[in-house]
Amino acid sequence: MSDFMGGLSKPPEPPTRSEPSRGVRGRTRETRDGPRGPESVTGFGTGTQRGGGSVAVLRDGAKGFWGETLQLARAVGRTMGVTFKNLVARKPVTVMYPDVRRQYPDRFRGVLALTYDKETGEENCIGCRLCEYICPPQVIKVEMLKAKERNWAKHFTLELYSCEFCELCVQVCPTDAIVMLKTFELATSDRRELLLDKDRLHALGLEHEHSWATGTRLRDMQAPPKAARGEGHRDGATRGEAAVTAPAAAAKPAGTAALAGAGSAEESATPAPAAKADGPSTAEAVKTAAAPPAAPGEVKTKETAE
Amino acid sequence: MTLPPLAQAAIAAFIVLNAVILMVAYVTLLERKFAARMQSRIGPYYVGWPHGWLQPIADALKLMLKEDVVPAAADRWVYNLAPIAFLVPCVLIFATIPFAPGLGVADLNIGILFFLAVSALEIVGLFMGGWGSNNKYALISAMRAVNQIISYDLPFIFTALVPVVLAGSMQLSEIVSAQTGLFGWFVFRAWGLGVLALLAYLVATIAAENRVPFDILEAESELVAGFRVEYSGMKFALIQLGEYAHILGTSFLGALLFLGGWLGPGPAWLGPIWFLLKAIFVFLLITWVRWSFVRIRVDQILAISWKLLLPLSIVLLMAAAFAVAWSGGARV
Ligand code: SF4
Ligand code: SF4
Repeated sequence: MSDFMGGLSKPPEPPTRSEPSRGVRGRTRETRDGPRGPESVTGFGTGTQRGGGSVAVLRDGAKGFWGETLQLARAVGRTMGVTFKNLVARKPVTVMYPDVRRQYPDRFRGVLALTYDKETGEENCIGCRLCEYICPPQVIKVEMLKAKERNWAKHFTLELYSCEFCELCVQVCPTDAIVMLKTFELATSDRRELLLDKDRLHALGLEHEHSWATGTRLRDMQAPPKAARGEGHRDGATRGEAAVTAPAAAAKPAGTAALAGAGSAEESATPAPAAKADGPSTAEAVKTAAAPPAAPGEVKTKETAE
Repeated sequence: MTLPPLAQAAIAAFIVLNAVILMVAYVTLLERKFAARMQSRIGPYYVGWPHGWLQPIADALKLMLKEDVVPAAADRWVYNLAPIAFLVPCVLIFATIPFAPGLGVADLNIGILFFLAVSALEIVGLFMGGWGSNNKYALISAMRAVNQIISYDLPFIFTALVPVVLAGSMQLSEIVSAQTGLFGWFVFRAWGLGVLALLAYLVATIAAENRVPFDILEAESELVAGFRVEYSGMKFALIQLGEYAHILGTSFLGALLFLGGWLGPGPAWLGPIWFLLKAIFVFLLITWVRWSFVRIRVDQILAISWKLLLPLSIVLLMAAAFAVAWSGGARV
């Protein structure tokens, strides 16, 4: 009687299993083991299909036509109970978006922007092109303007329409010049509007709230704990991270060294010992070599500690 | 001055037709709001702030302004006629529904027979659409629909006949007047037979209208939009209108057969309002089911129809007949 309703829904017979089992627990075991036996094809075909993929509606002990009908009725009641509870007892979770905005998380990855120095009001970007090198879809183009005190970005363009919002440019920026904003409103009727130049990027930075992430913060966060440094064992994630940074730094060692300003004397000294070390720490060294220009003012305490 | 009967009927038909179209428009809004709340959303809100009162109008305008694309390989006659062939039966079913004593287009003495026969005609338009589009998805979907509607019209008819047996008449107004009195509605009568019949009626209507969870003729992953995949603009609007008109029509019929039609407390002029509220209640039941379940397989749909619903409805009909015969024609 148990396949009273299942005649039509019975799948082609898979190899017979010796002990049929029903129910939620039985089903998962069966699903893992392989196709289910023909015995377990329940009456209505409710929730059972060949090879599992089942909705756990029927419980142990649903036997025969009436048992299954009862189970089905109970399942229907439960399902409709859920939607009814939603209807009467739960408030909608909708945020009325353009009027009301959610609090976006601090690590929000939105539109990119350039920043000004808070104290001096100067542009932070020194045109070092690290972001250009790291960018996977190569949407950043920077041209450096050399000067006595420090360097500047002569041109800075960002093709936001091809950006993949990977935050890598933020991560490598030595002067925290490029950041992400807590906004995602990019809709436009003209694609060219998303080709951002330096002025536009600076304007955007003043317009919207910045995310937490800056180059310094990201690198600090991902640096290994002090005790572990120099011993050569690092976790995989950090190693991968260092390796990503490595080519960028290696590609333009002269640039970074020149930019380092006050730190340039130590600069030549630091990579030398590290170069002798084994793989991971080489990467680490290259990374720290890239790091010093990060903040010319605050000379790396970590490094001097080493 | 009295108008000739034909003119009277035409005026009545005009009023009912427009009322139906308006009701259909707002019933879609109701369904969308209802569904949204079931999913913890808000639903239409801004067009006709607040709560989207103008949304149906905006939708209709949008559909009217849309480009009407006819596939190059379509069978033009069949393709163009299909929406009309689909819509006409769906709206025609309202012709027999009395909204209050004496308020309706035609209170036929075989009203329910007319209703059942005409509402089954919808399938012709549907299949024309599927065939005329010259699109494999549309055709497969239309064939599935025929398959399913044939399966479910039988239980639908059998359950709709239970009140007929209980009331002893096929005239819809007579069926309503047989339900007077406290707990006189057929849901409460005949020792629980009425409730079972209403449930079976609901399942059968949902399936006969191809609504979730029996909506196999529209499947985004395999059949895209089903038989109406090639329709756009106003033709699409007509099909949509027909579909909702059919649902609304069967909701009205359900309210009339099982929930006592216009009967309710209060003065007589409240009758149509009671009737409307009951019909909306039935409609919301159908919507509730729709937004609670996922779809079931084709074979399960057929199995449920032929193996459960059809025997159940026949048994219900026979039980109702026995009950009437047992009591010798008195109220059961
Ligand atoms: S977020 Fe990634 S893709 Fe976008 S500009 Fe920065 S590095 Fe390039
Ligand atoms: S990495 Fe920073 S400082 Fe260098 S070019 Fe890019 S934004 Fe400017």
